[in-house]
Amino acid sequence: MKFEGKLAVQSRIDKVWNFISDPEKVIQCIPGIEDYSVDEEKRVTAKVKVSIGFIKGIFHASSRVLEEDPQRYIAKLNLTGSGAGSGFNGTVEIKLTSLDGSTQIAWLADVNVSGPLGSLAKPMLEGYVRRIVEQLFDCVKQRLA
Amino acid sequence: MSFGAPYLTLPEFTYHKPKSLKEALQLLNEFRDEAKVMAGGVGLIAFMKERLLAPNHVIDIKDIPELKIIEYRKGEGLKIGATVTMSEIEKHDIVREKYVALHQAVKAGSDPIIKNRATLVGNICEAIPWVDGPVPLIAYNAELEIMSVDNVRRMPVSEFIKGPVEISLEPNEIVTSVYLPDLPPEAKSLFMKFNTGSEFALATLAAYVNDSKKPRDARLVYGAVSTKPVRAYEAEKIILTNKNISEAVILAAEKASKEIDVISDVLATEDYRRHLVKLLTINVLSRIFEVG
Amino acid sequence: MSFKYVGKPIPPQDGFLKVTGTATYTFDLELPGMLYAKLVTSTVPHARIKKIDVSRALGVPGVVRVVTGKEYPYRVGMYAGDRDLLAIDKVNWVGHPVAAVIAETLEAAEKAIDLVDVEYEELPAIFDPLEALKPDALLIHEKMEEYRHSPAFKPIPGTNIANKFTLVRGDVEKGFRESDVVLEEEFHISHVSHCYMEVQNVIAHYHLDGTVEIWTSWQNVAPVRQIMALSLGIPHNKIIVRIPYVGGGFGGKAGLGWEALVAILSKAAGHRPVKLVLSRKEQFSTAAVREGFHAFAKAGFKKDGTFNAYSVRFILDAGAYADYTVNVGRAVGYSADGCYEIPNINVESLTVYTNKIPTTALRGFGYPESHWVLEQIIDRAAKKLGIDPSEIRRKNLVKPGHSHTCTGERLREDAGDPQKVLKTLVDEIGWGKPSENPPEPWKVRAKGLSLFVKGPAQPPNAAASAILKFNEDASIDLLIATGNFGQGTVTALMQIVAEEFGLPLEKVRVDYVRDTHKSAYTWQTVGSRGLFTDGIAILKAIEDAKNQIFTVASEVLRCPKDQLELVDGEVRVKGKPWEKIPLQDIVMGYTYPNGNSIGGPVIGRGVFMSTHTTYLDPDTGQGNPTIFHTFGGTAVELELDLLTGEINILKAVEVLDLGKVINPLLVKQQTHGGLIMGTSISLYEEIKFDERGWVVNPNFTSYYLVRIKDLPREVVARYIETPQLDGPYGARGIGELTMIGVAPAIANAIYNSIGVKLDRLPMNPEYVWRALREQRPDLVEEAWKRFSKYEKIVEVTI
Ligand SMILES: Cc1cc2nc3c(=O)[nH]c(=O)nc-3n(C[C@H](O)[C@H](O)[C@H](O)COP(=O)(O)OP(=O)(O)OC[C@H]3O[C@@H](n4cnc5c(N)ncnc54)[C@H](O)[C@@H]3O)c2cc1C
Repeated sequence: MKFEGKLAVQSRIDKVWNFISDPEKVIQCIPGIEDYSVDEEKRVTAKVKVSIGFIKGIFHASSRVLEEDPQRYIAKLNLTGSGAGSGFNGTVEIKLTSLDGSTQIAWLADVNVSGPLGSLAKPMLEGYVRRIVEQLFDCVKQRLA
Repeated sequence: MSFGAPYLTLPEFTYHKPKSLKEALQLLNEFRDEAKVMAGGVGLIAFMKERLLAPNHVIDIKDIPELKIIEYRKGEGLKIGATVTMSEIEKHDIVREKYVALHQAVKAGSDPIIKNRATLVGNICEAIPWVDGPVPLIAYNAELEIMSVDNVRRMPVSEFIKGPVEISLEPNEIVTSVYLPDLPPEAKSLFMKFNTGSEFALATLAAYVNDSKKPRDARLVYGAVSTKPVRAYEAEKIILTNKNISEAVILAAEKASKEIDVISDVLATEDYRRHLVKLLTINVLSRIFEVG
Repeated sequence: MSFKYVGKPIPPQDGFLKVTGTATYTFDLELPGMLYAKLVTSTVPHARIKKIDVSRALGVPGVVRVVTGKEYPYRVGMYAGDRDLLAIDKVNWVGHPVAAVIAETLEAAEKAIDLVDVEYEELPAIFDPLEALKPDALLIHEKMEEYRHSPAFKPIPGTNIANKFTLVRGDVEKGFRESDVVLEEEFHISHVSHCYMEVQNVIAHYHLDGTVEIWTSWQNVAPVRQIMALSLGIPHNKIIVRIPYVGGGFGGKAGLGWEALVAILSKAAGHRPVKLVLSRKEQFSTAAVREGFHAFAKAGFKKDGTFNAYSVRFILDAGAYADYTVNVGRAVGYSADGCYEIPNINVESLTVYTNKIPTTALRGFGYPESHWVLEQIIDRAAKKLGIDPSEIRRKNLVKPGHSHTCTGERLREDAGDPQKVLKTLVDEIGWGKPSENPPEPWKVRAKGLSLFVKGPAQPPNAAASAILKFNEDASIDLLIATGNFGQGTVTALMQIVAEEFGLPLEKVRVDYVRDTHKSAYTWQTVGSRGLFTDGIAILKAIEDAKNQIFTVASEVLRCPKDQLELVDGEVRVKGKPWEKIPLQDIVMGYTYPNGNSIGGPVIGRGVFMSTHTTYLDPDTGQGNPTIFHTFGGTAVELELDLLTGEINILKAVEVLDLGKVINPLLVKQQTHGGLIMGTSISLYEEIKFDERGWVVNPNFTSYYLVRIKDLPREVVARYIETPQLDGPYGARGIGELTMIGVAPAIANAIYNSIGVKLDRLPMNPEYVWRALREQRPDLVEEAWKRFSKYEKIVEVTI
């Protein structure tokens, strides 16, 4: 499943970059986050409460930085996680561009879900992931404002 | 984390078996998100074993007398309570004579052991795309009665099911019964299921046609082809307007197979399902009209 | 000759307890102080393990220990020796056990597996064996050269090939040049699960004194002990393996199991007994299943139908571990010629590693695979040559006493009567007589044939033995090891004993528990060999016991031994039936009136050793691989729905030359069972994987199995009795054979009638529907017209 989106934030690009390249900050914006830890290499492990339809479960997720380029404002993360008997795995790419005064955040996610959740609720997962990402960036936007 | 939910045991929960609807509603109001209602448990236990659900409280509604009722009233229709089992429905005379599509759907499902436990309301609330129960109910324009401690509401089955594992139900609500409207004597309905190697269908169709009424009535509802049961409105129109029924049947089949949303999954591809939709439509409609 | 028990339809001896639900399976057993183990399995198909953190799991109340692969880096196995107990450094498939949690309750263990944190560094994964064969393919087994493998196999280190089997006979290139018609065809089959009712489960108790006790749901005790002894270095007599009733095996409980792992877990948990029970999910993702395969075949025929040259390449998708599959690969290879005489033949069979679930044997052991290819080739050639499929078979069938198989073995005179098998098959299905028209004109009816032959795939020195012990009342304890997982062998063996001693059947008992310490040895219970090999051993044990009995009786009755006979539980002097001694007066020793005694407790022993089998030549595959060949055939008449692709078998005929029917009821049950399983695997069964190597249908709602409505409507079973002179009462084995012919017979029926080639298993409705649309759009259109032309025009008023 591939998703992409764009949004503009009323903030300078370096400020935005500082925010989104700091896992401690971004994590607070993840909907349903219950518990997390970050190590020296910015490896994040987190416990996230997920609800898809009437299915509710705790997901254990982790992310790892694959690429981080402060010059070009590009970051690429690997995500893996599991919960509700299912697993997911994917990458997220984020790119910032400066628009006079504001900053555009463009993101591209490629996520694969395996297990009962994947086969039962695949059509719903798309909507779910989209919602989560939107909420996340909304939060980023607010914090930066 | 291991490969896909390999569990033999259930997650821990507290079991409640209220004796009245009031008590059940109060429990649900207290525990809300932490609780799940259990009717037959056929679906709930499977979901729990898969860890798709892990409620802290399970509220078994089988001891509530008012939910066990199945009753037909002329002019009003058929009421099926939340704990009426598939077996009880299958054996019910009125269902067999009048609500033929429902009878056929129940008859074609699983096996006697499952049907002695499984309920129709549970089958609806499970909201799994490939179950049979909701399909004829939508064809009959059936409605659900839903209660909470402080409210009673009714909602068509078609609106209640929003998608896979997604229903219009608040955490403190219980579906108490399903109401099927009374049918005019001329009304006809049929259900047909295409399944192979499993109880679960690759495609189903429930058709309801009433010739006598003006304007005439026709509903075609397809199950197991999409994320929820879907109606073929354009195809229904063809049946209502085309005079030559044998032609209408074919045209409706073609139309239905094109107009509705269809998915590919582990069980079958979209192509094949669209093809089955066509076959089912011709089969069911020609039977309905031939009988007349 | 007329017999009292042999040849009689005696119900299975274990039936009563099983249908009353009181038979004891490993699943039912609990030992005092027993702990429960649960596996943590990989969620990625191919990766290095960077870190396993068990600290959170250890915090769950009730958890005793968490064991990881690094702590016990044993290599285990029987043939390829390629398996780890738990993943060491690297995981090779989704479902690969990486750790095991041991806890006081199963609930605690299941809770704790979610809290074992494994960090993986993913590697590219290979899911297709054809990819795995590419020269630059990543190696799944980097240390293959270190594996201790059996001399019968040829792993190729530095590649993903677990075994390469080669067979060369005649000159195949010349054969093709001299053929009038040459066909080239491709075939494929999918992975399937055994779907037995009792999941794999094991209890192990590693005692403080170094003795290991095992209870397990497995087909046979000896291989379990052998694998544990070789892999863990424990002396054989310190390992006691016990198997009570078993809820089905179908080959899936023959190779490598979990016993070595659970024994180690018991040791790790302070020498307390530990039980591991797989869930159905794990049966579909972690336990071994049957391999998938590709086959590329080329066949040359002369105008008159003579099968002149055959070259075939089998590529087995063995998954991450191939301990038993290497032998399946070998069997696919040397059974490539089926029951036909093919002068020029080349076979290459590669058992190839991929990052999928490991594989093992399944009923038929490679023969269903080789016959799926060969029997369709025969029909395709027949059509090209304009010869009837039964005629081309008749022409090419091997002739016992004259022909050689592709391994160069001269078929023994008494190997069976393949011509009679074919003739019976053809008569019973009404070959040549067109089917009745189906009531629905968009369906077609068709008939198809398939022949087959099979013997046990075994090492040349596979032995069996039997011990027969008399009790005070002249009842008998028969101590045999052949497993009892539903085949009926044990009942047939008891009939033989009762028959030979002239005792009522109730006097013979075989305990339901097999035990390495108490049962006589038999190599394995596989390959349809039990009745044959253990039957021969039992007959020798009977002879031995009789000799002891007659020695004593001869002294007491003052009569030469050869003048004595055993009738109705008495030793009698031939021709003077009044001079006799009841058996119970002899079997514990004979006591004279004054108290003097002679003889002693009677214990008979007997062995079976296969003396003429050999290893196969590593370069040419020549040699004698097997102890008998059972010939058989399957014919079906089916109805195909041209619109949905559904296939319904109206009638199935199964003919087998089994030498002697020891128990007609059990043979019939085997036949029906095989047809059901064959139908299921032909039409429905398939393990499906997603692009990440996850099994997407690990349950019976999406892994399709036949339901009662899908079974053949009518079954005809016919048995031919051409005795194999050294077999017990002339019998040969049949257990696996009954399912081999189903798939090719179905495909052949469809090909013969409408020319549609079905190259893939399963032939499920959607696949058949696609094949029909691609290959015969004209027919589909015609069927569609018939279906949608609605006779009765109803005019309605609007
Ligand atoms: C082997 C097998 C074969 C099957 N074959 C078929 C088949 O052929 N066709 C088919 O359609 N189905 C089939 N099913 C599915 C089965 O019919 C359903 O699982 C069953 O009907 C669910 O009913 P239940 O009473 O057991 O529900 P439960 O398991 O008790 O509940 C299911 C869900 O609905 C909720 N729920 C139940 N009742 C209420 C209520 N009154 N108010 C609010 N929420 C409620 C529960 O909380 C739970 O989430 C099969 C199942 C199995 C195991």
